[in-house]
Amino acid sequence: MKKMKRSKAVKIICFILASLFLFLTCCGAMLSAVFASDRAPRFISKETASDFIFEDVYNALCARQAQRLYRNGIFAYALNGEADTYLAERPALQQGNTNYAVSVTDSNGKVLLQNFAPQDTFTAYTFIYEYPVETEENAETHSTEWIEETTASPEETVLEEADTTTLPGGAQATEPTAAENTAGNEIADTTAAPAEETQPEEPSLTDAADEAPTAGNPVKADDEEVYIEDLREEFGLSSIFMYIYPAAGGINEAIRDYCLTIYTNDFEPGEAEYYLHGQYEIYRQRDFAVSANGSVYFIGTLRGDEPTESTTNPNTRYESLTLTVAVDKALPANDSLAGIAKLKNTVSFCLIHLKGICLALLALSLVFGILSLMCCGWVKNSERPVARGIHRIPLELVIAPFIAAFATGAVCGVGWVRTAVFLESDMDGFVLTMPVWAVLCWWCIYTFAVRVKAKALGSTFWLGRFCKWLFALLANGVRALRFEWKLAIGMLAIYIGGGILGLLCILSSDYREVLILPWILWKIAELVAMVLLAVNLNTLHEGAKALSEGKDTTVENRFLFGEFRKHAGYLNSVGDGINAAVEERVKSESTKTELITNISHDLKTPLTSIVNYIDLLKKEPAGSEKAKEYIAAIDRASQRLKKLTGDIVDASKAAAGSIQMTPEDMDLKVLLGQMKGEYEERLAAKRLTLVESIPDAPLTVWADGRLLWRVLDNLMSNVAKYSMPGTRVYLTVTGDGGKAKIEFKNISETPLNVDPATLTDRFVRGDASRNSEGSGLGLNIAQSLTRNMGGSLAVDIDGDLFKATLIFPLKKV
Amino acid sequence: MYTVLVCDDDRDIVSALKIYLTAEGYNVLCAYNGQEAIDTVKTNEVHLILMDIMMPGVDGIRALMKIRETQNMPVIFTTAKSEDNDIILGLNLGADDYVTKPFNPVELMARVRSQLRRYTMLGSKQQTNVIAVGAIEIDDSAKAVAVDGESVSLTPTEYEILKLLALSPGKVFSPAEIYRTVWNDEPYASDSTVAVHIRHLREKIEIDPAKPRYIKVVWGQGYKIEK
Repeated sequence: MKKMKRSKAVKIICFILASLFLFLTCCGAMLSAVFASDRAPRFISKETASDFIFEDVYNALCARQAQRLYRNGIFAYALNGEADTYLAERPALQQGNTNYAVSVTDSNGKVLLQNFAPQDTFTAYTFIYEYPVETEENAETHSTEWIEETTASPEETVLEEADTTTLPGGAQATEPTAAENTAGNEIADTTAAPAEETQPEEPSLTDAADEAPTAGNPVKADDEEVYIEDLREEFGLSSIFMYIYPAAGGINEAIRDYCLTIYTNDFEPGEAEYYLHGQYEIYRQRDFAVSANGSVYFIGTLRGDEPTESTTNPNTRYESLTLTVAVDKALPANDSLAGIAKLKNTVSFCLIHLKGICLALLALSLVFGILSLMCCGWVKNSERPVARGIHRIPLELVIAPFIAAFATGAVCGVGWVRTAVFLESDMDGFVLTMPVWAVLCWWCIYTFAVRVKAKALGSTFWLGRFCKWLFALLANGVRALRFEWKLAIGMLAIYIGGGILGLLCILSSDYREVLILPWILWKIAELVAMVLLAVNLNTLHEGAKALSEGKDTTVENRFLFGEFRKHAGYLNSVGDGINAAVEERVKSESTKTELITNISHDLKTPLTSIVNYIDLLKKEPAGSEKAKEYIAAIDRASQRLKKLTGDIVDASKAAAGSIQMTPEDMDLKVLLGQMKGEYEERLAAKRLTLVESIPDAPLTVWADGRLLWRVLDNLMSNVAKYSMPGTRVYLTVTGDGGKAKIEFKNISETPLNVDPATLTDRFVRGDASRNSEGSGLGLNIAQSLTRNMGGSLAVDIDGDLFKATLIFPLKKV
Repeated sequence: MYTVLVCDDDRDIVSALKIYLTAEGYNVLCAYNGQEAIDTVKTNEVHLILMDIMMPGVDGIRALMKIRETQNMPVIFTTAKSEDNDIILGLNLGADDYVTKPFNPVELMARVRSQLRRYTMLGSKQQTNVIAVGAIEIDDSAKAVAVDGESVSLTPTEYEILKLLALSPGKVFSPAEIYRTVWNDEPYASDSTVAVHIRHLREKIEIDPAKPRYIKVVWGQGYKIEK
């Protein structure tokens, strides 16, 4: 498990899979949302999706096929009697390797072009091309012109689905269409019924009429004629329409949708406005019209032509060509129609099962997401998760896309998204781009998780760091201010701020003349009160500060009043208490010193006898070797005792600070030179080499030379006493930052088995066994004396290295 | 044959000192408190007194004051009071030397000798070309130095240093000044040459070089000779 966590491949795969599934889930969800909306295109709307699979797809495709044929110039070929050429150029059509049969007939029902005769099982769609004929010559030229135009811009022609009333020639072809439609399409539009009254030759349509005899809008075929005339007047066209006859209701919806998608590509969805002309919706910009019963009329213009002139010509009559496309719904041939139908069926299947698919994808993305979060942050050769590489970029940059998206309303690029998916929808941009956002979001969660696991959230959040820094800066600035400034600034801010607010209130009031005088008086009183308050607070502050620094002062209470005066009294009594305690302590210290001094005196007298008699004993000739040994032992002990009696008084006095000091300006370097002179022989006796580093500049200190000598003497005698013979002793002197630092470093002869912190305690020596010479008070005395002179002495032990650091404040030049 | 009075309330110390002094060839008188000392001095010819300060009855200070009314023999205080104030007080009252207990008997004998020499030589006439500071006599023509009448052999450098200090008694000479004058050269910083020579000089002139009577170290400043 741990190994898996640390594998880079596992991490990457989990992350990518989670992202992918999340993306797909969101795409599905987005599609669901689109379906649920009112403006969803019908051909993928949820309600019609199932029908679309089985039926509407053919209708839509047939309309598309008819348009393609027309674009290929099929009418022109037929009119010019070049049907064979047309077919010869298209071998698949000629050999019948298509799923549809094509035929073009003229107004008289004469077949101008046909590839093969459709079977009974075929569904036929009929499209009519109507063209104006003014004179014979005009007609000729016009059609020729049109043929030339078609190759360039096919939209100028209009196709018309079979209308048996106006075009009896196409009636035969329409028969199977109607039959199929009624058989296959259960939701036959009732509006189709009245239209069918004009088509008595279609029995199935009569059945449909029987089912709903009174329903729907009684739209006559004549109305269509009238409408076409109306449109010609309305748009001033010379031309040519394709309209789709509402033969069986629902099919036209599909064709209409198809047409909408074709014709509205260049328009923004919101612009598809129409107006009503009689019963018809007229989409002017779309060049098509939809009748109340669902018929769609395409209106074309001839480019370079002046339509108004044509319409004003009363001699204009219209002739028509009928294009029939009969489709074999079994789709045996492997043509583009079959391919598209299959694709559309697949898509439709997916759409129906969208919810299930979405849930499955969501589950997968969750599984991989959790796995990914478990692995994230772990890397090889690390005990804990780390954030590195891309996870160290500032958190702000990670969040920035979201902030930007919300700031700009997330609409960037939405236009093309809509166009790209052929959607006309009022979804807002965020829904349409949701999958992208979801993946971004997931990435955010991922990097967030890594940072949290690696405890790097704070350090990679730059805004937070910046705020912290800014706050620290401000706080430092405020802290650096003196108390009186803080007080003054704060009070002034309150005074001025409050004053401005009050003034504004008064000026905006109706009683300003009445209020202004009391306000001014109040402000004056306030100023006086504030100044008094500030003075009082500052006095107390200064007093407390002085007391806390150990100065023997009292808080001046001359300007204090009321509670502040009492407060000053308390502070003073605290100060008095402390002074009393200090005095007590000093007294007790001096009593102690006195006691020690007296004891020392009393010890000295018998000690004198001991020393003298030992000396006399040594001079006595008699005595064994052992006696001499014993005498030597007593001699050593008496010498130690002698030193001890002196040192203990000094230590006690130094600790109590009762040694008299007569400080004066003195050059440390002179003192060090004297010290070296004094110790030269003692160091040489132990073969110790003094390595010195002393700056050239004079180091003047304000100190008692005798006492300072005592300190150096004690340190140096330690060096001479305890150093390993034949080693080097380092004396380093520096004079930086207003302080002189004298450092003694030597190698101890015996292991230093004591804590350096206790070395300066009384009676502590490096070897802790007390066998060597010395009283063990040297460092203690040195430290006390140094402290009394305002310096400091620190002792450090590093293995056998003994280091004493003496620091004295230099005299300011 | 000089007579030395030893006055201490501790009999052991008195008898020990008596042994040492007798061995040195002095006639020894003993006293065990201040009053006895005063009485002894009245009835005997005493050349030097060794006296403790803290004694029952009349203490050393008062005894000294009493004796000084009539006598001017050298008095050395031998006392346990080692504080600076005590020493200064003792010397101011007319003591000639001050030795703190526990003292080194050999050193004490040296001091006794020194004081006696000075005392007995007192009144000997001053020669020209002789610089005298306390018990030190520097005969510049002979380049000879005598301390308490006893000649001391010094190296030329030591002699020059001593002469420099002795010509301005009480003046503090910094090591650099001494170096410039004696070596006739510029010293370098924190040089210890002068200090070494001074120490040698001290060892030759002083009885206890650690507590010099004449050549004093002014720590951090320089050296001087006591007036």
